[in-house]
Formats: sequence, structure tokens, C-alpha cells
Amino acid sequence: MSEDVNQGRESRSAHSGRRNVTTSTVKRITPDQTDANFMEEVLKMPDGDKIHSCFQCGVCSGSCPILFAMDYTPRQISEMIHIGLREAVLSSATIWLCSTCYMCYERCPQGVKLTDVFNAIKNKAVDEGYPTPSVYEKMSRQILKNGFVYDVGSMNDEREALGLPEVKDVKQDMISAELKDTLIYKLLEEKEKKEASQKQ
Amino acid sequence: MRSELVTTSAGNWNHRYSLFIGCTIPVRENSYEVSARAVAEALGIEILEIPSQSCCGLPFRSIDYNAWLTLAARNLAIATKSNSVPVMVLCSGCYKSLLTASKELEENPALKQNVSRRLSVEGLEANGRIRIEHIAQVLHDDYGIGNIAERVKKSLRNLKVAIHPGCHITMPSKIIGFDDPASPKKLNELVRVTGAQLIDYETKRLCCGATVVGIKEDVSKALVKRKIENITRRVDALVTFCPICHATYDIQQLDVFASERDKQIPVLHYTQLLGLAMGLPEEKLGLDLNRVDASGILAKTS
Repeated sequence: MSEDVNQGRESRSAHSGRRNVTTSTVKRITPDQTDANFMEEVLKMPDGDKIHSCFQCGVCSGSCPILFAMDYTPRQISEMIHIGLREAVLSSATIWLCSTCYMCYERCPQGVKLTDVFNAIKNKAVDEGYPTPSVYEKMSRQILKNGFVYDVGSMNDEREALGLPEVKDVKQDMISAELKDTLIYKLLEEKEKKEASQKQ
Repeated sequence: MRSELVTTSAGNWNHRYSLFIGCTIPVRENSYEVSARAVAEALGIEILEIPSQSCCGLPFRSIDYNAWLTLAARNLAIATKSNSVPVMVLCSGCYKSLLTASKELEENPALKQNVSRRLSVEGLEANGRIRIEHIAQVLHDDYGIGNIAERVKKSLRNLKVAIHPGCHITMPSKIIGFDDPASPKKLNELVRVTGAQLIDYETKRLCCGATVVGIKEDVSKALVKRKIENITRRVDALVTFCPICHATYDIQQLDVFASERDKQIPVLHYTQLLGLAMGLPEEKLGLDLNRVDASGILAKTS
């Protein structure tokens, strides 16, 4: 597929799909540094199994509420997975801007679970050390520390005043112990060690 | 099969659920929990607590599948162990997370075994057999619109409302299956039974964008603006079924329409709307906790 054809299709789906959308932020796919194994890797991931069925209709892009802010459209990401553009996919802003609304997954005529493919891609990006929005590190640390994304334990006075039962016995140490062999736990542990050694 | 539920004749209910509250509600949306508990009590729905419940795991889904599944499974295991009744979930994000996890565990024995190994330090075992229901599902499918209608005491006919269905209460429908994502009929019925006028609008299906607030806030604000501008001056309130959607509209509107305050629309949790229709006192519904002033609504509910 030539780049011009590619660009034209995206514009059409974007303009007919919704208002206030410009394709000026959308990048063109530049098919260099392809990795033939990338597609196979995605197919093996949870929910990645249907990605090969994508026939590039663009319903995903037309359904996406965040399209206007993305660097590559959801349809392009799917195409890029097929081509094997590992680097561009794993470093794209699009995967982190997905609001996980599941509209593309819901409407895909080919049964591609694109929202969860995006989840798989994000998991892979974290695993391979690609930049991850800092909010995820913050939330993960909070969960390991408090058992919740926020310090829910500190809300008990307010809860009592509203007649709500106390949040208690969260067992944060158990949560940490259960997550000890997961990727995120190991990454945070490594980072803490590195930070500690840099301070010394 | 809902063998856990004892449903005798209409009006004689024995509904017991354990309540999953998640992270957003206790920190930002107490009004939802207060009103949900008040409505449940008035309807005769018994709520049991889930001790040691934690985050549902959803934030991990994007970055670490195993961490997500383990934390979700922990909550399912605790709920199963503490009360053998269905789990009632108020948050659509938690609902989707727990429901998806329960299905993944039951469909993939190897995965289940792996998660069980992690949970064994706490003496827990992974299983996805417990029933998970959103409060809207409890009210519509279990309690029933007809029975709710019998409890409606106050006319809301002067109140015009629009619903924001939100995403995870219906999608992906292959997993959730509660209501039709393209046109949520059950959610409409739940609103109509309160007597309020339900107004349809073009951007009804638009996502609130909560998950990108922490990544690119202006993107979320653009989505909030599009939805609210579509219904402003057409409705008295926007009704939500998810604390995260509620927080997004209730908080972001203050900023998005800081200089156009007349465009702001009060955002009600569905349980606040139902509570008003049931004639529950406003202090039991946490209306004073809403950020966009919702007090004007009371004048229309007499």
C-alpha cells in the first residue's frame, strides 16, 4: 500500500466519523526496520489471537473517541502490527491515549479485540523498557503501599461521619507478597534499588 | 442460574449481596456509596461487607496482565470466602475488571493455577464462580422495574435528565452482556421508572475519557466539553452509573466551563435519582457532596 492511499483512507474515515477531527497530527507509516516476528508475538498474547483477521476497514478509527489526539490511528496501529513495525508501535502515543472504551472491539466486523490488543502492546512496551506514562508507576506504587490506587485507609474519619463502615484489614503486605513475581513488582523493585544506590 | 438468590413472591424479597466499593468511591465519590446504601436499605436489599477488599486491579491491566488478574482474583476469592452471595459492584470499571477476571480464570485452568499459587500466601484460592453484578443489574434484573415502581413515591415529571451510560457497564458485550451497548434499554427503563423525563442526545455514547486524565488532561476535557455542550440547557441533570464517569464530569465541568457557569449541568449518580423518586431525605443521598451544585434539582422534585 502506498503512503498516499493510506493517508487518503484515514482522512475519509475521520471526516465522516466525527466532528472536530483533523488528521494533521496523524503520522504516516514509514515501513522501515520491520520485524517479521512481531506479529507472531502479538498473536500469542492474551487477546492478540484475532489481529491477523483485520482487513483494514477502519471501523476502529471511526469509532475512536480519542482519534483527534493520536499520533497513529487505531487502524494504522493494526496495519503496523501486520507489517512488523515493532519500534513504532511500542513507542507510539496512541497506545497510551486509548481510553479503553471498547467501542472498536465492540464494532469490529472481524472480531479483532483491538482494545485488549492495545493492552497487550502496552504490557509489551513496559516489559521492553519503552517510555510509560508516569501515572502508571504512581498508581502501581500506591496499590502496593495502600492496597488501593489512593490512600483509602486515611478516609475512615470521613466515612464514619457519613455513616459508612470503616475500610479495614486491607493486608497490604499480603498484596505485595502475592504480586512479588509479577513484572511490575520487579520493575519497581529494580528502580528503587537503582535510586537508592544513586543516592549513596 | 441464580441459585444464591431466594426470590419468593413479588414484594417479598430476600436479596443479599456483598458490596465491592473499589478505589474511586471512598476517596472521591462518597455520595455514590451513601446513596446506594440508602436506596438498598429502603428497597430491602441487604448489603454484606467484604473485609480486606482492595483495588480491583484494573490499573494494572494496561501494564501487567498478571498483576491485574492476581489482584482481581484476590478480591473474588475474598468475596467467595466471606459471603457466598453475589457481589454487587457500584463502579463500572471494577465491574468489568472483576467480571472479565472471573471469566478468564474459568476459561484458562493453567492461568487459574498460576494465580492460585500467588494467592496461596494468604490462604486464598482463585476461582471465577462467584456471581458479579453491577448495581444497575441488581436493580433491573433481580429486583425488577415493577417492584421499583411500587417504591416510587415522588413525582419527578418536571425533571429532565439525560443518561451517560459509560463504557464498561455494557462493553465488551461478549463479556458483560448486561445491556445493549448501541442502545442501553435497561438503563433507560431504570431512569423512566423514576418518572423523570429522559432526553436522548447525539453524544450519548461518548466515553468520559477518565483514563486519559492522568496522561493528557486536555483530551479528557475536550470529551467532557463535547458531551456537556450537547445537552446543556436541554436537561436538568446528567445521570451516571459509574463513579469514575461521575467524577470526570463533576470535576472537569468546573474547569471547562469556569467562565460559562450557566453551561454546567449537575451530575447525579443513578442511586441519587432513584432515592429522590423514592422520597428519601436529601441528606441520605449525599447531594451536598456533588461539586456542580445539585440543590436546584430538589425544587423540581416536589
